[in-house]
Amino acid sequence: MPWYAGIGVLLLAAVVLPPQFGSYYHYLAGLTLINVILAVGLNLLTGNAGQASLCHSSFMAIGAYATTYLVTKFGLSYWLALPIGGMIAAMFGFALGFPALRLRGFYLAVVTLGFLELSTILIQQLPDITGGVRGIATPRPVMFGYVFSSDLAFYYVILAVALMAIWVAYSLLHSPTGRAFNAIRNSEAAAQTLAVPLARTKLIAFMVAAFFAGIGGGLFASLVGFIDPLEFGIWTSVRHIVFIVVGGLGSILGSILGAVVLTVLPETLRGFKEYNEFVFGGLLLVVLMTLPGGLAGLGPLLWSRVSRRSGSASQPVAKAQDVNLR
Amino acid sequence: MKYFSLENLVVVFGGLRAVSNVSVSLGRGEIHGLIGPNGAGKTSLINSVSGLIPLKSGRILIDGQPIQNLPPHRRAASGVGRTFQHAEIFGDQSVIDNVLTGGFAHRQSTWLQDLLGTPGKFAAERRAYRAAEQMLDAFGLLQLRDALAGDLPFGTLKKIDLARALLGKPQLLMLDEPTSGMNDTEAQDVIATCKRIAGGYGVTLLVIEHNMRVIMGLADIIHVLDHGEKIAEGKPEAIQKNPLVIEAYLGHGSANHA
Amino acid sequence: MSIVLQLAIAGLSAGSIYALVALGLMLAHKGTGILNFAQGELVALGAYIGLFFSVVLHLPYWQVFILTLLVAAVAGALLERTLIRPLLHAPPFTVIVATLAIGLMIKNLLRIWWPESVSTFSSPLDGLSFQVGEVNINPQYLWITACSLLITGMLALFFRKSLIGKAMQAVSQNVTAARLMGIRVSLIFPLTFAVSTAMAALAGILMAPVVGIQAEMGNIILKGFVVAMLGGFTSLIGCVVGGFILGLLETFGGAFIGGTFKDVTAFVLLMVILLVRPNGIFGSAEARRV
Repeated sequence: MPWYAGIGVLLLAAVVLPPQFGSYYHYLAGLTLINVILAVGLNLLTGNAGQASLCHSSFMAIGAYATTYLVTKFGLSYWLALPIGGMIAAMFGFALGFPALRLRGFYLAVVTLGFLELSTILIQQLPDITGGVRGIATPRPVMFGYVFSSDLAFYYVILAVALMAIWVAYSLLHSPTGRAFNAIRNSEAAAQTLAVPLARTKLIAFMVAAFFAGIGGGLFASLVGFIDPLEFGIWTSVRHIVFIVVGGLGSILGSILGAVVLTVLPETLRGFKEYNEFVFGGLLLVVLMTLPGGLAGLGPLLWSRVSRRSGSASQPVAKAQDVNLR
Repeated sequence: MKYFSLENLVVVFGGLRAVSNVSVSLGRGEIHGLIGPNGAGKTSLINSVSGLIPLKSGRILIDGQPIQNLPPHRRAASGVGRTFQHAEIFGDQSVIDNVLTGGFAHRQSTWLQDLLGTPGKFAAERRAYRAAEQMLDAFGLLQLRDALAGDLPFGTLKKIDLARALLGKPQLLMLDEPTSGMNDTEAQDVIATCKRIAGGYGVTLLVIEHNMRVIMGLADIIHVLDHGEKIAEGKPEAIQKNPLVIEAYLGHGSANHA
Repeated sequence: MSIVLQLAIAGLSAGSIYALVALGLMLAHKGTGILNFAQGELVALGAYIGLFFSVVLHLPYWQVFILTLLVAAVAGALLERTLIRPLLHAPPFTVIVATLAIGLMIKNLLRIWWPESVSTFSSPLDGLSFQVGEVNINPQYLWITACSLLITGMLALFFRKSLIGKAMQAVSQNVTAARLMGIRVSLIFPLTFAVSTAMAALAGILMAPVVGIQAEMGNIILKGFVVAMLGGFTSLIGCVVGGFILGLLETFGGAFIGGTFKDVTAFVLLMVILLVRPNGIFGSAEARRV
């Protein structure tokens, strides 16, 4: 009972609170929810299926450019261009999955890094589509003549997409495919003997994560109004990994917590001026050393101290050591 | 010819013949035992049949159809199930999630349905949960349903492994030391449950065991391996008196006699 | 012909730098199991320390060289003792994010301490060039390559012949067994990091006169990873050879095919190698028995 109510309250807050604050906060809220979408997608691939990926931002870029291109050059409605952009990103995710089949852990991670570098180069080398280093402008969506030009209006669009993303992830994790993800992370041998097709499952995981990233990218481009190719480099990908490691690997709640805390925190740290990265890094270290299950593990940790129960269903499903790195 | 046929299986590990020309025939619903001193090649045999290690040569036939060229997950889909010496449990999943994964071969929703969360998928999930809970109940594990598998003792993990494998309703189920980590009472219970469920589905069992009391009472036919070769096959009483078998065990001195 | 020679020399020297970065990564990983994503920032740190000794204290080059390596070694040992030690038993993913955080902190501090965006310090070889036939050769490149090879060679000897070196090898293979042999593991770990950081600093001070010093220098870690992987993450020679391959490919590719190729080479090379030999050129395969 209690957790239903909690979600209801959060939802209510997400809908009702933003208009109370200024437009900067609308923008921040939109950005935060986009990061939630990105984190949820990456956690499915890395936290649940155990496949390291350092190029999540590349799929973001693909989605961003595809959506923008379809809207500006083909005159497609944003509502169509966004999911198509996501699907294009998913196709690339599928393609990346193939080298992934032969590689484990750390080697896979570095290959995804290579893909990231490659896409960065391509962005610069295809200025007709991407606007090259100068970037490209992305308009806001239009529905029945109403343009979502205010950050607040667009925030509600992002909120709707984020809720859909969370639903899809939840549905996936509570399904045979989701169990297959967790199985291949824990024991590929056992998974195979239970008829789980390794290759197919990994490819699905890559595709789904890339789709989420593509959608996030399309939303991001429209929120900012402009795509800056520098936004999709290694440090963005690293931030995505940090979202899910700090939030809690393999847990949707973890993805949400990690994305929210780590998007909002740097903003609040602006007060530290030049030292803000230092403080950020320091806080990150503290969380990592004290909370092995990430932020999502904090709740169950405190709960099990308060009551004597053990084994909570909302604990982060994966432990960091299960992301195959050796 | 019997329904399941393992013909002249050879497994080689870097120059060492772990399994050397072993043939085993199993009829439907039969229970076979696989015994032998440590290092005899029993687990390697099972690994090669489930596809986790490659066969140097030999054929595996189900109802006359060869499956030795299929990848492991396709062999599993064809009805070859197994449990593991070390249980190979999904440690950070709950017990019920572990067992639910056993039903993967018979899942009734496509990956797309799983993503979209259609009503069909939720109905399938409810059915899957009921089946998994029944299986857990049969092994007396229902109260551990939501416990984290990694926190549980080894004997319990072996039971979960067995429940998980049985949920897949395999045609041929190979068990690798299913009673290790259990005391005699538990062992008898687990074997009785396994036999009952397997009998209900018509599952053929091939059981590796070191616990002689268990295997002699359970199996219809026993195969004995030593140093990768099959040295005897027959009914339990005959095997117990077989001089080759006795010599293999006493000579190497490491099997535990009940 | 002269072009080829010049490109080769430049390529080998770039490759030497990559090899040094890779070596530092590999040493830390082999010795402690830690994948140090802050290694790039340690390269930058080395360059900045050299900058300090050279520009602020006005010490001659050879003193800058030796002092920087020593200071870096001490810094590495301190780093291990304070921040890395708690990570030794953490899951690998946590270690990566934690070392990234450490790198971020170091980069931030460097940026604050030395606000100028690009600096450099001088080496006695600045502006010199000599002729071999019709070819102009920049001795800076030769120095980089020679120095790297020399120090790498000394390191190899150290591991093979000296007692401490062998102790470090033992720890890298089996910590428990090493402890049982009476090896003071709690001293070996900081020592390993000291050597690893010194290698990073060496790369930093060698590259500084050629490419300048900036807080972003740490990005070289990516190429270090590529080279370390070519070496299978276990082989010293693998790092050196891998570094040379990458350096030469980049330089020749960049000259004959174009600037873009230079940036992409590292990763194309990586992908090709990994698709063909997932454990690197010199690595060995691992299997797990079920």
